[in-house]
Amino acid sequence: MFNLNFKDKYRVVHINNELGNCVVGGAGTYMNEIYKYRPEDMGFVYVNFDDVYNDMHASDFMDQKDVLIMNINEINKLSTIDCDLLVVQFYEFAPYITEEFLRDKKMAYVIHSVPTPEPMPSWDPFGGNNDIRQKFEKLCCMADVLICVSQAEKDKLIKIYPQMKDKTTVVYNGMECQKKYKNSNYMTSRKKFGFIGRTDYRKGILECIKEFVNVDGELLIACPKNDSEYIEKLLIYIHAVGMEDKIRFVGWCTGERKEEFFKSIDALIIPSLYEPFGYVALEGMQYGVPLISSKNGGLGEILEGYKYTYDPYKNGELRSRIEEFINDDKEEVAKQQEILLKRIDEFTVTKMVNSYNELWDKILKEI
Amino acid sequence: MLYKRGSLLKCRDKHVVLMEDFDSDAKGYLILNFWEQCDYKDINVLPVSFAKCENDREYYQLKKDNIIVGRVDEFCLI
Repeated sequence: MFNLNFKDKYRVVHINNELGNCVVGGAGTYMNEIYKYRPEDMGFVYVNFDDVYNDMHASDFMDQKDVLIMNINEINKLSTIDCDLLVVQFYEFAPYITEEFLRDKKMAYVIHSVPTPEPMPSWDPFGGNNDIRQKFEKLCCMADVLICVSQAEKDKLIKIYPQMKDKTTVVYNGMECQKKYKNSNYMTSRKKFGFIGRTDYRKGILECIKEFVNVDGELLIACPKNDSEYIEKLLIYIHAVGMEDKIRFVGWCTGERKEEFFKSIDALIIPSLYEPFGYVALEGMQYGVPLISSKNGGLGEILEGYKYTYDPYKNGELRSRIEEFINDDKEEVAKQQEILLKRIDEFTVTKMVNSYNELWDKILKEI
Repeated sequence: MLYKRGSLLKCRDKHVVLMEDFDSDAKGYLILNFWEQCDYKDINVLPVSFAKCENDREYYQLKKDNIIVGRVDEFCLI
C-alpha cells in the first residue's frame, strides 16, 4: 500500500479499481474526471484487483494527492478509512463492505454497468454468474443511493430489481469538453472509418467488420489486446473474406496518437451492442468527427436528435447508415456535425460534478 | 544488430516504431504491439515488438491472435 497525501479524514471517499493511468474503460475515464475536479474534502482509494506483482508508480496517479493505493491482498485496510460518505464504483468490493465498516457512514454505489451479458438473457439476467449477481445485489441493498450513468442503465436495473426504484437516480457522465478540433475530412473524403475501444464482444467489432465487407472504404481499428480469443475470431473472419487491405489495426492509441486517430478518420463507427453510457461518443464529438453509432443504451441518449444512429441487432442497418453518410450532401453532414457539437454541452464535467455535489449534500444532510 | 526501443524502421512499405529493443540476429517476426499504450503521433507508423519464432508450428501459434508486420530480415532503418 502507498499513500499519496491521503488525509486521515474526508467527507467523501471514492473507492475504485480504475484511476490515473490504471484505467480500462468508461469507469476509469469517469474517475479521472471526478478526481480532476475534486473538492478539498474528497479522497480516492485505488485497489489493484489484477496483478499484484505489477509495479505501480506515484506518477501514475495525476496530482499524487488524496490517493490511497493498495493491492487486493491489502484490502482489509479499507476498514481504516474515515469518511462520511463512501462511494463504491465496482461490485467486486462487495465482500469487503461490511455493516460494521458502514456503521458511521453513508454509502453510494455508482453503477457504471449492470453486470449482465449482452444481450441480457431472459432466463437469468446475470447469465448464471451467481457470484457476480450476489456481489452486485449486496451492494445495491446496502447502498443508501444507487446512481446509474444513463436512463437506459436505470431502466435495466429496475427491470431486474423493481424494489430499487426509489433509491435510484441518474447522473450522466461528463467530460472536460474543449471542442479541440472540428474534423472536416468529410468535405473531401468519406472512405476512411475508425473504431476505437476495447476488444470485447460487447463493442460489436466483429458485427461491424461483417457489415463493412461491401463498403467502399477502409476501417482503422485502434484497440488494446484485451481478449486474444476475440482477436483470433476477428482475424479468422478478415482472412476468410479477404479484407486484409480494408481493415487496418493501428494499436492501442493514447495521447497524441489518439488525437491523430480522430483527426485522420472521416467518421467514427461505434458498433457497440450496448453501452451503459458511451464515453467514446463524447471523445469523437470533441474532435468534431461525424459518428455512425449504435443507439443502444446511453448512446441513444447522448446522440438524441442525431441522424446516423442504428440498432446493432438489426442486420444491414450499420451498412445503410454508412451509405447514407457517404451519399448525403455536405450541408447535411455539416448539420449533423453541429448537432453533435451542441449535444456535447449536455455532458460536461461541470454538469456531472455539480450533480454529484448536490446529491452528496442531500445524502449527508439526512444524517 | 541491436535495434533500440523507439527506432523507426521500414518493412514491406510500412513504417514501424519499435516498442522494445530487439536483436535482429534472432529468428522471428515483428508483430503489432497492441498490449502496450502507444502515443507515437503518426497514426501511419505502427507500434511493433519482436516475437521469437523458429518453426512453422510457432508461426501458426503466433499468427492466430497477432498481426504480423514482417520478418526480422525484411526490415531496414529509416
